[in-house]
Amino acid sequence: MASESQQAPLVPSGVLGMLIFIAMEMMFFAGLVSAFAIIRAGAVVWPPPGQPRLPIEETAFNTAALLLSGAMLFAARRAFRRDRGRARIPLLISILLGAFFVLFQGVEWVSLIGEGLTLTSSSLGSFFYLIVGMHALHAVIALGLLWWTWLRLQRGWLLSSQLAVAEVFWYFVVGLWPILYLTVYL
Amino acid sequence: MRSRLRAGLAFAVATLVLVSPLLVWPQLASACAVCAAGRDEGTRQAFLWTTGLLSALPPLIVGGLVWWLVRRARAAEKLQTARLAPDAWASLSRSGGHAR
Repeated sequence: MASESQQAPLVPSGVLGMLIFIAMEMMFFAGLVSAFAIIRAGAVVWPPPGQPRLPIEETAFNTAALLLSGAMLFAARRAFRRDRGRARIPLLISILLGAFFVLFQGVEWVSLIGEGLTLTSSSLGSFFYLIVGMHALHAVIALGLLWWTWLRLQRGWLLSSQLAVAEVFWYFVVGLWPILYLTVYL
Repeated sequence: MRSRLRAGLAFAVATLVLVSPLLVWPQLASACAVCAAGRDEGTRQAFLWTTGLLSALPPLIVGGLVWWLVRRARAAEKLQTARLAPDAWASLSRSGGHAR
């Protein structure tokens, strides 16, 4: 009986909670993408007249940086299993690549606003800033979570389940982006 | 448990098979509040695909999560059985064949 109560949980509570949260977020983004697809399909000309073309090539490069960040986090998990201390560098690279992605997006937004694409300029602008902005918000929160795990790792307090929670959230952010890129940019 | 699951799955598949032909003739069933907006072919297709996506996503997410949990539970069960087997054998031999 004692051994039963000491048994490790099937899935850490934090990971299960995060998975449920992500399921909710997937529905949220699916709703946004659906609304965008319907508006775009109904438009006679796309992008709407007077609106700039979205920077496809630059964003493709940024997408590669984000995917690489996901790969580095995977490497960090593998290193964590073998020797915790060795996970520090790949985890830090993953965070830096993620931060680069968000900053690059910010620069892109500034240039698009300069070209006349704003929240109220057209349906493209409204959807672009809403969908990409919501993704960026998720990326910033996930980066905060990754930074917190890195700090705990530095101090030697990081648990495997805590890393798993941050991992699940970051993989969601990384995995969602190519779908948004294909839908919104192309 | 398994037979119930099978029956539920069979019911879901049968319902899908019966209802899916309606997708071929959406103009016959323009009962949604936004169908008036989808007059042109492009918008109609967009409505069709996004309705499919939004309908399929929740069962896929929940189903995927349940499938993953069941897989983990089975793997943990196997591992525990493998770990407990030598102990159970030893306790049986100590008690003279009477399991406690």
